[in-house]
Amino acid sequence: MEGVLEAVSEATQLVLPSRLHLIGGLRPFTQAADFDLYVETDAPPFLRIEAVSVNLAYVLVEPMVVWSNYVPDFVATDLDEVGITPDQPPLVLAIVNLSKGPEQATANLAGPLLINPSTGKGKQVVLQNAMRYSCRQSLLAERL
Amino acid sequence: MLVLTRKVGEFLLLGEEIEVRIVRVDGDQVRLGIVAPRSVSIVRGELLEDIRKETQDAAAPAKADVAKLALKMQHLGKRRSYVAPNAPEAPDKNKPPAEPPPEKPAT
Repeated sequence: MEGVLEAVSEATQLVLPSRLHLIGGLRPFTQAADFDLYVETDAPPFLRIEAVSVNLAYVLVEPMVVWSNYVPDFVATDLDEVGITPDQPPLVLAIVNLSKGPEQATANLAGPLLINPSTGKGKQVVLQNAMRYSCRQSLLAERL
Repeated sequence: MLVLTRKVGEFLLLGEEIEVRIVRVDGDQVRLGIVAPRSVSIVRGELLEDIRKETQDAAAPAKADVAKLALKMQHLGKRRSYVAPNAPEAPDKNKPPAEPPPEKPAT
């Protein structure tokens, strides 16, 4: 089933869950499953997660906010596990890699976080169409 | 790991619904044809490794870097406004470091 998503063209509001529970954690940190979710209010459009029980934090971004032509195709069992139904679009977030500095920042579009926005339950998944996207997509590229 | 030898054209049946067929062999490249239900994800092993490495590298980004990156993203304008129940807090310094689990020895 393809993710049911509309291209973000004008400012749309999204209510975020306060906590995420990622099934299986974030490989290789499989013990880090619960994260608090924050908005980087001084650095839009980025979000941040901080693990509840270990020292682990990430910056995240909604790929569709940056690239309107990102069309993730999710595996049906991943959607079921997270509890996504056809009437409720999922929250899709990509991990941002800033380890080489802001000029070379990338986002993992092949293995995004698939999240149920009402429950905060989620999973890092591999897209059915992962071969179309990079796990190191330059954030400064305007088109995919 | 089960290791089998197959010739071009032969196939394997995994469970009751997954078929893996050897379509062509070209030097050191093997072309495989796979028939599987939509519920089964088929992923190149290197991609899983890549994702794992990305997750490791991306951990604990510097706040200054996030601010600099946001400046470069201003051309996006205001496309999304988030309503978040959590207010930013001071980091909890008492948490243990995240460590990847020890690697299992290859069989």
